[in-house]
Amino acid sequence: MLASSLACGETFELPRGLGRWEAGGFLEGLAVLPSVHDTQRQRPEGRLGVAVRGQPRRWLRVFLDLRGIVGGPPEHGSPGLFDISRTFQNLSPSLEVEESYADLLLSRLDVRIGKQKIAWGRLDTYQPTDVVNPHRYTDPFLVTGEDAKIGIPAVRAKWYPSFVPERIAAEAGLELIWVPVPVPPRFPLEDERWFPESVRAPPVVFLPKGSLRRGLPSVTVRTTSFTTSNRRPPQQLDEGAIASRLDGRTFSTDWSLYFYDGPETGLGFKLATSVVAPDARVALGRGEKPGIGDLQHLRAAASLLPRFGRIRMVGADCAFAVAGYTVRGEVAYGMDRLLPRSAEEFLSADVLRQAVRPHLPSIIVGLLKGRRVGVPLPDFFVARDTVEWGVGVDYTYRGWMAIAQVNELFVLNNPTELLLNDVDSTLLFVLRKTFLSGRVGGEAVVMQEIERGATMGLGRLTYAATDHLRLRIGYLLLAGSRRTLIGQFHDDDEAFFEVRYSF
Amino acid sequence: MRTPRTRFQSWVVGLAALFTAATGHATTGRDVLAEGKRLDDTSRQWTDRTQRMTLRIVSAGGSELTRRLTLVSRRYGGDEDKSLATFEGPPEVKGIGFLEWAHNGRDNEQWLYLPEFRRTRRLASRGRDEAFVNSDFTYRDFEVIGKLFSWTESEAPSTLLRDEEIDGHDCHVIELRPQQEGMPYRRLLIWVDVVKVVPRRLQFFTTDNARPAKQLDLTDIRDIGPIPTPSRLEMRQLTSGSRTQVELEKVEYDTGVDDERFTLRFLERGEF
Repeated sequence: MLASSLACGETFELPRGLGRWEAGGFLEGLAVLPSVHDTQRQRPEGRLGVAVRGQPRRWLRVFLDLRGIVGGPPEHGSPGLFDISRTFQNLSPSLEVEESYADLLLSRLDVRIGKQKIAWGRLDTYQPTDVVNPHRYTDPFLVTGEDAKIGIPAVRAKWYPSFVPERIAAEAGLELIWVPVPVPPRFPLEDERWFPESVRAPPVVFLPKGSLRRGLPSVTVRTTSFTTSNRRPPQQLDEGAIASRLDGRTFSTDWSLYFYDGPETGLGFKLATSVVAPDARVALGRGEKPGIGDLQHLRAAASLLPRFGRIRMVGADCAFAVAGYTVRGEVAYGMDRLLPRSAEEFLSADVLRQAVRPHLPSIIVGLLKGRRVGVPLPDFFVARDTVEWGVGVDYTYRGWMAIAQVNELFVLNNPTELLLNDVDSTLLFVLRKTFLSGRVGGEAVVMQEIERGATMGLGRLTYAATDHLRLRIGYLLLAGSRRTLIGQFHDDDEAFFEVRYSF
Repeated sequence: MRTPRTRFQSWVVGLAALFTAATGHATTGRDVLAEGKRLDDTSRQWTDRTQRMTLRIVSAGGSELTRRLTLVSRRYGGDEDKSLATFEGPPEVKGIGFLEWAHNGRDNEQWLYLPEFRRTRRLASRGRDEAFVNSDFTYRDFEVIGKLFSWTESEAPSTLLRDEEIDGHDCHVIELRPQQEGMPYRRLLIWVDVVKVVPRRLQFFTTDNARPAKQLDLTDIRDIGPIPTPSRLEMRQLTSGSRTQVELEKVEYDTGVDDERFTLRFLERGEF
């Protein structure tokens, strides 16, 4: 009886002072139908989520959220449990502890200890201050927001002091967070559908005659092997993060101030490349001495490795209502944020010459001896200071909810060509409406990158067949230049179908 | 749990009962409404209220969605109050919280907590004419129900139209024409129980037409202490045919709900 009550999501009182408990979850199926048939496939995906919550004492709550997934983007995956130290994990079926924590609820202090997700910022879809948790990018357009976050081990304490006058800051709270070890973001593997072209080594790089050094012939480098490899982030306690948030309400405006000092939770990669000269090897095989002319055609093996860095962020946000509109604003100053370079610029003759030149004699000697030689490439992701801000307005009228938001990123003191512009603006429009007493819900989302001209459109129609069964169909549209974060996926438009049973 | 009544309170209740009987002889709508307000301010006065309810939202086609929630309210001086709604089911909406601070003379403040986003979102109070959890109630409907008796004659001119019986209960039928800015209802018809001095039916008119847009029936009225409380409410959209039934499974008054309950901290923490 207990099991059946828990399975129905009912709260249950356990005997012997074990308090109140409840369990619930969902079973979900997702299928996608790519609009371009020769795009990388994505298998149908099944998800099972189970959450258990308990309050054994008045001051103590515990929470466990487990997620099992089978199918979806992974290719040739093996069964396993996701861990929090590797960027590339090819698991299917997989199990993950999304969150697992205990809450201590004291009179003026709330403490949360365990694996958790922390939501900062007030804007929609993209919050510049929300830097504490890394994200998974394995299905980046349908699994977003808090669903895309990876839980991190952390201690979070929020203190509500009683001495702050309400006129200055009502409900003032100071939150302190300690994350003991870095957790990297999770990224698709090279043969998965959502592996972005922007971090893939190009199949051919051509270096004109004399571009590396006067007297050298033209060189054609063909990438014959491209893989992803894991590196664990440093696991020492001093590599973790500390963060704080101060929030309150003044003159009917909710506000927060943020500080973060810790590992970069956004993406960062480096490309490790080695080359070999097949013609030189053939010559050596024939007992001849290879010459410079045997270095015209090289074969490269490239491996994408996670790159770790440390960042600092200070930020602020606010929200208030005026004349029927809700206005939200957010700003963040980031120090040493890792940003992706443009692949074309990164592998251009000029950049390669500068990076390779100091090592050129040893590379040439190694190649002429028939060896595989490592090529020290420049940083694929570069550390830059940034300012990000955004303002959003939403308005509700007769059940229609419209959101308009602008986000802008300024990259400071940047001499390098990036996959972003030094001033990069994004517009977001969202329209939501429910029909038939909430049984049918529609949502349209359009995100437009202004300077580089890329568009993401998402339309979703949800039908609640019963209180527990939900059906959803939708279409994802991706368009724009391949030299943009969104546009690089522009062959990946898809229709999707989702069935979800909640219990 | 309601605290035991003092002798003074008992005296007030007794007097109120006598006065209630007197409403049968009320001569104007304002007399009836004033009596309702007087009772609300004396014997039926409460500071906090906890309601556990189930909403059944039935579409015109007959399909049904349910929402289970706990609504905790607390009244403050100066016609201000705070309320916190926490959704307990079904699973799709479990954990959603809605906090409102109703102010006198300025816009209400509202916040919505969505567990899916782990964020509290400030809402603009213009949303008061939006549907409450996709039901046939709007946020303003609850406001209207709560303030029927406290509007002054200038805020809502009244006319006693007739007396009529509903389910065997004699009622005064009173017309109100609310004057508040932004009020979507041109007029309201209220059936006020002659004995209990509580509304048993409300009709909401968005135009001057004879046909109301919505009708609310309040039934199974029980006394919880001295406070008559409906156990069932049904709001029907008379144009579209959809309806929402509210069953109040548990109602408690004056249990000593703390002011801290109506904070963003408790909104995010949720009930358990």
